Amino acid sequence: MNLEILAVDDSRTMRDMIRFALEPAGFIVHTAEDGVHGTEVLEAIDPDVIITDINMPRMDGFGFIDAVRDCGQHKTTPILVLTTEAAPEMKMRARNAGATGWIVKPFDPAKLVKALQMVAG
Amino acid sequence: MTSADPMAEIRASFFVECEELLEALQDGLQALDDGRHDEETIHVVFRAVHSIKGGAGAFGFEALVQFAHQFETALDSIRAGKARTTPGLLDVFFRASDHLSDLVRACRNDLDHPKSEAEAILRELNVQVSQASQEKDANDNECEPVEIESSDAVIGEDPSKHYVEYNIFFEPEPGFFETGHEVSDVINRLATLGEIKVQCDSSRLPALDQLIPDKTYLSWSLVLTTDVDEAGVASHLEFAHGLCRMKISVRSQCQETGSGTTIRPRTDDQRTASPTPSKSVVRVDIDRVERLANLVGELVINQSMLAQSLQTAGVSPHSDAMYGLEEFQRLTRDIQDSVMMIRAQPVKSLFQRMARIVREASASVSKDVRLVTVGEATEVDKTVIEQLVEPLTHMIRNAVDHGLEPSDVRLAHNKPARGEIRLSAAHRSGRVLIQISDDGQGIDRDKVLRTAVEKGLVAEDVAMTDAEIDTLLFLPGFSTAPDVSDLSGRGVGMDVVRTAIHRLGGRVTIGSTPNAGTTFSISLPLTLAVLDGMVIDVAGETLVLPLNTVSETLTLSDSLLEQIQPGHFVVRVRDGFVPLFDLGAALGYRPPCDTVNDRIAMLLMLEDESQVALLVDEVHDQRQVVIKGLDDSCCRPPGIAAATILGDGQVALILDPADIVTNTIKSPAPKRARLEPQT
Repeated sequence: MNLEILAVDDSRTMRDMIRFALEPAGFIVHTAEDGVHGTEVLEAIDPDVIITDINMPRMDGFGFIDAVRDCGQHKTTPILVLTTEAAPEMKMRARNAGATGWIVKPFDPAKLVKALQMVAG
Repeated sequence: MTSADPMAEIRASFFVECEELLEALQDGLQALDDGRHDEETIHVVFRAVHSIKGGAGAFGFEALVQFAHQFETALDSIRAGKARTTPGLLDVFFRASDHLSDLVRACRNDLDHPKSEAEAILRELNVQVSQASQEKDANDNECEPVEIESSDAVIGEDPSKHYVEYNIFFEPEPGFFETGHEVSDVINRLATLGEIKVQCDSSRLPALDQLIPDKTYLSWSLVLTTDVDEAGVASHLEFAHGLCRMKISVRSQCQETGSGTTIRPRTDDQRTASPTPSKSVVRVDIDRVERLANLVGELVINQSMLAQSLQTAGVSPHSDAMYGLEEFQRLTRDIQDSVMMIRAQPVKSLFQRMARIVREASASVSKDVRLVTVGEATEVDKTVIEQLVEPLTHMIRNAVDHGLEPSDVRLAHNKPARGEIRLSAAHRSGRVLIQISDDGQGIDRDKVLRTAVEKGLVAEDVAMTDAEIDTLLFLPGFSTAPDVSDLSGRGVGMDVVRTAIHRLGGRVTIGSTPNAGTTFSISLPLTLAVLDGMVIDVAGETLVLPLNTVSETLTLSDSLLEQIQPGHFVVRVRDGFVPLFDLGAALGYRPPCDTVNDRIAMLLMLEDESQVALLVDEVHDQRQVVIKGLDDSCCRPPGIAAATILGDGQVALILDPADIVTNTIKSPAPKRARLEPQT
């Protein structure tokens, strides 16, 4: 079965990279440019895993995770945070918001694929 | 897109994105500098640097990552409210952003960039941040580069031969499932570390009728044999911390010998290309656009040839063929506009480069200069923008170096200490007008004239108008700077600028008021490829006048003409008089006509809004012509802009009306007179 992914990142390069890493591995990749856009995209799709950046305009990653966890439909969808930040308090904050995992950029495509397959069960 | 290497494509797209981010960064810093910023500005600036860092990390541009990281740290102290923006801090932010764009360029072109400059800027950055810091904690600003290695937080592979057996007890709480976790994930994740034995304890599971779905009843005991240390194992469960009861204990240690390190096969082969999904933006090689533009040009020529042969064949203008041709013409026009739109770009990027020139130039001569830009959204042909960099740079440097006075002189003249350079772009009667003006001392005309006489460029006793003296600045080898400074004044000044602008089919003019400043105006064609022209005949030669300059056609009669001196006429046009020039004589095709009565004149409006009338023999029609540049090897005659090929295959010269007036007519009459009627 092809896994469906939503990747939320304000950097086009990053979105391209994620797409490039995941599509050859058979993932269906949706993208969004920021948290607000992400929640809009989520209205129409039901991804198996959500990947999100932290620093984004309009709505940042924390706000986005909150929003996803607050709406009933995606309450249990695994969310991976993909960011350059590695500070423990940031990780803690993301986890408290309800993130499932944390990957520090730059990512290795193979590892990202594995991580996604794993959290998606 | 069929590129063989998707990675190269993403890399290219990263650099395109970098350009945009650098632009946003510049805009943001400028807004902070102007005091136009709001809360969001600093976040935008921060994110720009942050995104560059993120992308750079993905491509392994270490120098760029390091610099961006430290820049970002400094910006973060502002963002977090730990420090306030001071002018000194902004100044170094600008320099850092300039350096960042240098680094990006260096990465794109695979060049090395000297580290010393980055270090100097970063040192300055740290000094400024700690000065601006309200909480004087110098350590806050000591920024060590963050580790950007791909983290093993989710999956770790750390081959060493020291194996340990762990007992892991694991009991999830409801929160664990609410944040999207699964027990199987955790077990699978641990399983990647080594060998694992799993046992589930279901003893607390109640009977189905007593089961509360939201509660958790199960726990697991795991035995993991791995070469990863305890912290490494714990890090794999990091996200479950607080969401479950968990205990990790070491059961036994054993030393593995003999078996070598196993290297897991990397799954890079998964990267093999698959069709890239469609995107809303396509990057196209400029050569292809160029080719398309050329082809469209040929199409235009072909279409006008067809029109001409149909006409010659005597086809009725109301026939289907002619209607079809009209439609064809309209389509050709649309295609042409669309192609031009691909090539058009806002001048913003150009202006931002100039902002940097201003910063660097003013720093090197220690003047305080502010750049104001107007009309950044004005779109101009990409080629034109590229070709404008050099001349504009030179003019900006000139303005900083020669135009603006030092602060003390400015204060003495009741001017603000900070000089201002204004860079504007606008569309004006089918052309683009770019102006560079400063509020400096203006051109010292006495000095200019003196220098010109000394250098033997003009005769000593010649009487010259102010405008004529200003134009002397464009003479080759002219430079009035008393001592050659670092910035400008290498003696290759304004004539190079003028040549460059001319090559683009443009013109440059100077206006200057003593003590109020100098303005250079550059007028450029919107496109370099096609022109709407009026085809005329003069002395048996077919010529093309740019249609955008033609305001009307006049039939001359005695009542309209006034002779102001022998051979020089003015034409009465409604409420004013306009000088009349004999085009045939001006271009040297024939001696001046004795009588102009009953002849035709084209009334032209030039971009400086002055009017002239040109005497012509015949007016054919208006037509789109493809501009064919005159080769550099044939010296461009005054008054001629370019050439074209007409529908019948004949070559016609395209006129440059303003140049005809300034450069081909030797006339003592006021060149662009606007006389009041004498009635």
